[in-house]
Amino acid sequence: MRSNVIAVVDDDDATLQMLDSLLHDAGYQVISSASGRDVHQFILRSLPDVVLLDLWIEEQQAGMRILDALARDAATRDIPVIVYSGQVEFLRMQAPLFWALGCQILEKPFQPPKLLAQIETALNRSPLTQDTANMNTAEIIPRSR
Amino acid sequence: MQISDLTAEIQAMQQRLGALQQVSGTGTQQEAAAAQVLEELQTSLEELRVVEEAVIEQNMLLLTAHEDLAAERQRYQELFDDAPDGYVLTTPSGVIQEANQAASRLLNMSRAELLGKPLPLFVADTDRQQFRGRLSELHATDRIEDREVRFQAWRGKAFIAGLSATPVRDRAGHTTAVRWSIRDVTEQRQVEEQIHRLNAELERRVAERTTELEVANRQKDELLRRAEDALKTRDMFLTIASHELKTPLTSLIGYVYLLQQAMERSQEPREQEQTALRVIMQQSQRLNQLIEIMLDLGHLQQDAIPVEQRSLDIVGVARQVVAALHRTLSRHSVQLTVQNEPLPIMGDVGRLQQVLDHVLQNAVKYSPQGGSIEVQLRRQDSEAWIQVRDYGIGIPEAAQGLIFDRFYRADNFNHLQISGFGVGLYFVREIIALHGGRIAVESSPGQGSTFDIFLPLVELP
Repeated sequence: MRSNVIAVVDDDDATLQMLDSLLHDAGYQVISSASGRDVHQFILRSLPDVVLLDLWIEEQQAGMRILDALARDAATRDIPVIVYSGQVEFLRMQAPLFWALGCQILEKPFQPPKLLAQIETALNRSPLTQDTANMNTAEIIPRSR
Repeated sequence: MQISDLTAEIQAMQQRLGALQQVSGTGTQQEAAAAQVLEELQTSLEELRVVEEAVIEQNMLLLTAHEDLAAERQRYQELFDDAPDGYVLTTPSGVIQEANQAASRLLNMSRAELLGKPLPLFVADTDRQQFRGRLSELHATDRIEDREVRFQAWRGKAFIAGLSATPVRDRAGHTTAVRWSIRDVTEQRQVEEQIHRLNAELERRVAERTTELEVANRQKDELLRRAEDALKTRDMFLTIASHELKTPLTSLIGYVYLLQQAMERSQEPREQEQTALRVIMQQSQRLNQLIEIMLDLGHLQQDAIPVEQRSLDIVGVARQVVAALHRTLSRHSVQLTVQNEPLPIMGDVGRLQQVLDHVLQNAVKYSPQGGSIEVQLRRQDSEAWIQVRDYGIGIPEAAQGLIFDRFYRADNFNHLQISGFGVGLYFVREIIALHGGRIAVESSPGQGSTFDIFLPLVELP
């Protein structure tokens, strides 16, 4: 059976290597891009099952442009994306935007089990809930409607 | 001979005439005529006497008027003489005919000597030609007012005179004399000049000070600009730091996880290595917390720390934090007691996790001998009350009011080589304040500390 393909886009070699090992260990096939340029073409060519995208790749806004390009193209629009970043405030502030784009978000540094769980969620195409997308795992009382 | 003598003489003649008529018995015509003449003469004399009285009276009046006039003249003379300004009467060509005391004083020459001297004699050489011009102008004008002319007193000091002149004219309009008033305005001019100088000096100083202020303002603007630049640089640094510091931690934690997984699959798991990996993992997470605090402090300085407002149960948050902490402890135990549940509040789950985690970590840190840490949650009026008690080294009384200050660390902590920036409780207090709550501490050195956190409850929907 063909194993699922995870595309990792990150300009940090150590993170790339770690993710490569982690995802291989977990049984996935990994392809990666260490550059923020032509990422859309790279995704379009390889059509992975899930994209792992570092938001700050080479420069601060690159991840957002990549995300935008993927969302605009019908061929890539439905590929689930997990965005991660060390700029946790940016992630928290823009969380509604990422959820609207169907992305899951992950704060650096993350615990590998959490990443693996998010990948499984993405692969199962289970509808995103706030709980799985939210970085806060404490019990949350829903707001009154 | 007086009129009264004449009257007596006439009366005597009348008596004699009467006596003559009695002697003769009958009056002759001549006698009657004589009596008539005498009668008329007497009447005329009477009239004359009345006129004389009137003349005498008028003479008296005239005398009085003359005396008054003399007194008046004297008064004017005195006024003229004693006037504070110099008064001089000259011929149309300027020869002095009269001068008062003040003029005598000003020109430094007796009044007698002044008479006959030309007024231009006392005008300074520099102004004399101009003065003569003025003098000739007087024929055509009615009055010269307050012209300033430099005067030179006879063998005395020079002075600036404020000069006024009025020509005296006869009925035909010819100028017969000129009245001058001379006032020494030297002092006045000096005062004015001094005022002028002082004003100029004042203006100069104001200008100087204005320039200084402008320079100071520019310096202040420059300092402000630099401070703003520094803030921007700091923000930029914090943004980059959060990226640059967290990226290596990501791969570090990932690899530790992989090694732990490999170790678990291993046939011969080695305890020492497992411990090492667990410590590396814990310390990596601690490092991440420190980075978070550093970033939050940057925000606190700008009052810009982001805090969400969502309904949550603080009991759930506490359970999670205690459970997570429990896994990392070996010598300490944590007892969680929940007396009321749920305790719904509005706030930021992530921030409250940080707060509780920090207070609990503190309790662990400052109980170096290990031991029990008690966490109690209950409802107190309209607040959620979270109490964290440890039995560690405690906080000296003098330090209890300071531990929530930024960068403060109690003295007795230092020799224990307890790590930390000394910013934690400051951060904790600020976050609690952003939730509308408060934190207090009670402690006895050697017996431990109790932290009480109060957060306002909200009604459940």
